[in-house]
Amino acid sequence: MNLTRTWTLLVRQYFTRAPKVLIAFALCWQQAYSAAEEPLPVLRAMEAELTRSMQGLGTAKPAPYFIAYSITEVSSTLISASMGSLDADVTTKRRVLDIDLRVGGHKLDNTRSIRGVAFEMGRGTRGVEVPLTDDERALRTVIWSATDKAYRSAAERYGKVITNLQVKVKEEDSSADLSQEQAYTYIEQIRPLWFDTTVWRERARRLSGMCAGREHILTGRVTFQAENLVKYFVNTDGSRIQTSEPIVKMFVIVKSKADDGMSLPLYESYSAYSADRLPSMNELEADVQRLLNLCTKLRTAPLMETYTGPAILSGRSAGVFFHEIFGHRVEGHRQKDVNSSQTFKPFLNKKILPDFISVVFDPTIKQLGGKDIVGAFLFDDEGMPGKRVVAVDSGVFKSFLTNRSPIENFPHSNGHGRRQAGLKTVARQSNLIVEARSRVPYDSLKAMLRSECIKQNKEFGLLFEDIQGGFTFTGRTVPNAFNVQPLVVYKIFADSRPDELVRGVDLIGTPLTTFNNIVAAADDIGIFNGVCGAESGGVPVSASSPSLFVSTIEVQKKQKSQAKPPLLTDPTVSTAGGQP
Amino acid sequence: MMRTLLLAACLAATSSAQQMSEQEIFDAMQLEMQRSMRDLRIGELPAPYQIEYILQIRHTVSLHAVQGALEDLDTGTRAVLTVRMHVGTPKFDNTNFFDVSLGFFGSSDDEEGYKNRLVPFELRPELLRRELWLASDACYKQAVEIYSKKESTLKNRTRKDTTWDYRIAQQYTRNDAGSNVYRPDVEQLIARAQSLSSVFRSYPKIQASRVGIEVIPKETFYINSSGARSHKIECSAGIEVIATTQAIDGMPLAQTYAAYARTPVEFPNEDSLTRAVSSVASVLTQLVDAETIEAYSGPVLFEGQAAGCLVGQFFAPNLVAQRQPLSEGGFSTNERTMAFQNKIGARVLPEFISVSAEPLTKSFNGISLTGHYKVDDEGVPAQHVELVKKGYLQTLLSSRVPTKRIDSSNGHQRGGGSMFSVISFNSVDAKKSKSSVDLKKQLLRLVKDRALPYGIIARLGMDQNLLFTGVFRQTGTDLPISQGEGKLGLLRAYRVYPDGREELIRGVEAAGLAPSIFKDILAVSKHKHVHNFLAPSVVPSFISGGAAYVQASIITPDILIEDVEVRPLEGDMPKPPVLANPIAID
Repeated sequence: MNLTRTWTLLVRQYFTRAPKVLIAFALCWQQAYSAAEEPLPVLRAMEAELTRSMQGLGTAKPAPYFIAYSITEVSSTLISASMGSLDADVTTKRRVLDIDLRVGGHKLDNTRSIRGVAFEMGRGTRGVEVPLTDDERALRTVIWSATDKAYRSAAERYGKVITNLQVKVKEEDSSADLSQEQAYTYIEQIRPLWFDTTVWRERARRLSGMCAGREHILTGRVTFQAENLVKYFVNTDGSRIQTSEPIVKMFVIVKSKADDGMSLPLYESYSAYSADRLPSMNELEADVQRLLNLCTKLRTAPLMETYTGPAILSGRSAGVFFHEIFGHRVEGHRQKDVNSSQTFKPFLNKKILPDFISVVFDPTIKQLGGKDIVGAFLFDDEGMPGKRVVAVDSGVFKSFLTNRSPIENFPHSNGHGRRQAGLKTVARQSNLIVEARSRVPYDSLKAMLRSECIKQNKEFGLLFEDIQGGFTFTGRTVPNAFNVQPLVVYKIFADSRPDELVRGVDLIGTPLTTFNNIVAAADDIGIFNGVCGAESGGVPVSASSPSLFVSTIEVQKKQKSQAKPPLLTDPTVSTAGGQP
Repeated sequence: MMRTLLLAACLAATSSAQQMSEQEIFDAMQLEMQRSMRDLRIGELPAPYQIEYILQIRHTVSLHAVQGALEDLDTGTRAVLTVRMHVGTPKFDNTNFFDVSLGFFGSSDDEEGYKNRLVPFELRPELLRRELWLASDACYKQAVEIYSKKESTLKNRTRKDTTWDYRIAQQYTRNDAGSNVYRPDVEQLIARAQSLSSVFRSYPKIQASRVGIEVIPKETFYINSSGARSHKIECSAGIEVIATTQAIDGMPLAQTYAAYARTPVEFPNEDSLTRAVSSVASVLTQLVDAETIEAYSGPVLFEGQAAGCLVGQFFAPNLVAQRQPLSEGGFSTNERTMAFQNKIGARVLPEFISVSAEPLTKSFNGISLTGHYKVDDEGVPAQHVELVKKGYLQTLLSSRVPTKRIDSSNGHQRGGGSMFSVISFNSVDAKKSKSSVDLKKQLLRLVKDRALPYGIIARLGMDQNLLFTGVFRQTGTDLPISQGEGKLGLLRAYRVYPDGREELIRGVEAAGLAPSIFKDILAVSKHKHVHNFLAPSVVPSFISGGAAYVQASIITPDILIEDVEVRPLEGDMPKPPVLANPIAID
């Protein structure tokens, strides 16, 4: 089963260790790309071992024809406060080495899929920690040892690949295993970006403290996370790249529990490329207050039953909707995977969406509508420049997202090879942007919804105002359904009664049918920044879209906790009664 | 820049996390405990009769260095809360029952946590009460559910064991409030790790090496509804060195060194540590070209750390009173450490050896005993216990969970279940206690008597903690090291020829090591060695919900055993690296 889990809103709420320090901490961030500078010792150590390995292993049988080394330096600061007090204050730093060592040739190498094998016991490197200090000798020793393991693993697997090709039927897609690409050299100066941990600690305390003493609020946590990835990359094509990718995130979680046991979490997340681009304290406080009010209302909101009918997806909801039902299905590597359903493969240059809709993936832009979108990168994790990809042009499907593993009709990478350090690179999404050529005011969308309700003889339609995340199945052995998990859903009544907040449903469906039901787009834009989790780990992405009116959607009952709310009253709520 | 950033992080570990006074913490715990005892009820389901709250605040510094360079550094403060609750009566309650579903997979109902629940380390009275409230609620609901399952399970069984489930013990108060929480000098620790790991830069035959240092100062607040309370301020520290390589024929090889202490101040001095690491490097380098042996059966002299490993892994765990929990569906736990449960009064050692548990002993021959403690994890004062007297088993180490043979606690609840702490092997017969030279002579006499070409001396055994947390990390699945029952990897072993000449051998393990083999101890040395280590919890952590490893100390002489099987590691070996280590060519 291919279950592609996406949109992790809350990245690891809990870290195991929490330092408490009242100093400003620095993260390295390159704000303005600069001219090539002298590479750091890390890059020199990588190049030295790359050269030595290609020469030294050149006489081995089979010999490597391609090697790429990536070292990802992950600097992370996480500050988390619950109900007004810090429960995590963690600083970590790691360097992880990934090796892509290939034997055979571009057309056929050890990375070719081995068909018919349920589980492979690989001995290859899965990310190796390397020293943090720029000691070339120490770095080279670790690289050498890991390269040897990677070579053995590659040579062993290559033999299996050759046999597998002979004993299985002809492949559906016999594209080469590695695309021929030009080399790139880019050395970005690493500059420190300072942010004041004291300020963010205090903000986390204050914002989470707003949840304390509130009846029925069981969780009130605010997390600030700053992470910088400094990436070093060399390969035997001659590429030599040094870049940094900073990201700053905040999460607010407010959770209550209905009397019927249903957990009612509400989230708000913010992502930016620097701390000063996060919302102001006033805005954050307003958002926390809004979540608290909404959470209280949700406790007593009526349960929604199974339903089909018209709906409006807010911009953020529509963004996630497209990410799930479209984005994961145009990731190139799935088109070679014999277990993947390959939903859009037969639709190349054919219509899949209304004429007024286009969909692009653009890692080259960092802002949209004045807000940061976090799926940007200069080079992907295979050393290829990230390129804008028009996946759907005026309703017609035009392109998959590709990395250096070519697929039928797409022999080259468009710079979407991505991974979390330590995992294998595959084609992944970047900044997904749904563009609508014709738009209507948001209120008109509501009017259209009401008209459609009357037409379909429905008492109400649904408005999906905010979502938590979702997942989708892309395998062939299970229905190709998606599940988008809403947080805030309203009934919009055909007779214009006031909107009613409801709870307890997930938005479900299958992609092609649902695409056919998109009727109109509003003149707004909603942006969802998050971390997408799939086979190559968590990578920052965004999804942006105008609000969409869909003629028919389907919802199913959400999984519900069977645990009772607490038996005794909250000892910190003075109005709660009982005897503290 | 790097240095500045790292030190910024390090400083974090030096600040205090707790703002409430000891009295305020206990007051908050007491108030919520009283409320829980009084009000936690669901219909006719049983009420709690005993509640325990354990709040622990840990300040951790953990770092590793490779080839003289820092590899990682983690610092942080973490506060965790555990609630334990007994519902029913001491005669029959919710404990001593393992719910397979809840035990392995937890609740699927998005419930609040109550075991090692992460709580804010910036404590405030109302916040602490809130955390206690939520944790107590979740704990009570699960306790009554397990109670009912246990009751239902027993309705279909003819129960023979009517041992009570729990004993309310004597109340005790311990207060360490006057002590200070240890504050490690992180910069010094980094320098030490880098300096020690740089030793390996001169050994090109070694493929991978790593020096790790961890220091964990912690404060524990314990309170129970029977009136016991303790405030413990402790610290644990360790240096672990692991180096691995391959022999010419590809056989994976490893050497380890570990020093555990209460604080880094008690570590061996810089020269001793450097010598120890140099020894790891040089012995491992020698092992590359060393020979291995054919299967051997004969006398083996376990010296120093190897003797500690032998006792710590194959004898001491059996000294803990254990009770097989009931469970649904016939699930049963491992019985490999239950050899002595029915042996009280029986001979388990030669008559010239006695064994005692000495948790109150702080040091031996100037070496800190990391297994030392004053009050156990249930608030019961630690007790010295004479376990084996002149070879005969007297009693077992116990907690407040009674077993058929042991009814009351002798203060050995640690990490989540009953556990050994400081175990001392003592010879009571001067004739059987020999100098090292005489012990080796006795080994050679045995060799001669049995017409063997050589005997074996083991000086370094594979530590289980290091194997799983360090060695496997470096070797992956390549290392065919002993993991099965009754096996001990011998990392440093020597063939001793009749003329006294010693020869290092590689890739061997001692097999068939059962508790009964200790009855065949022929002689021991006069001098004794301290083996501090992280011992795997005897009661598995998935059952106890506690720690997987617990600090322990073995004080033991060198041990000569009449007959031990030693065999070479066999199987296909990975080939050695194609290219030379870069430090060999630069």
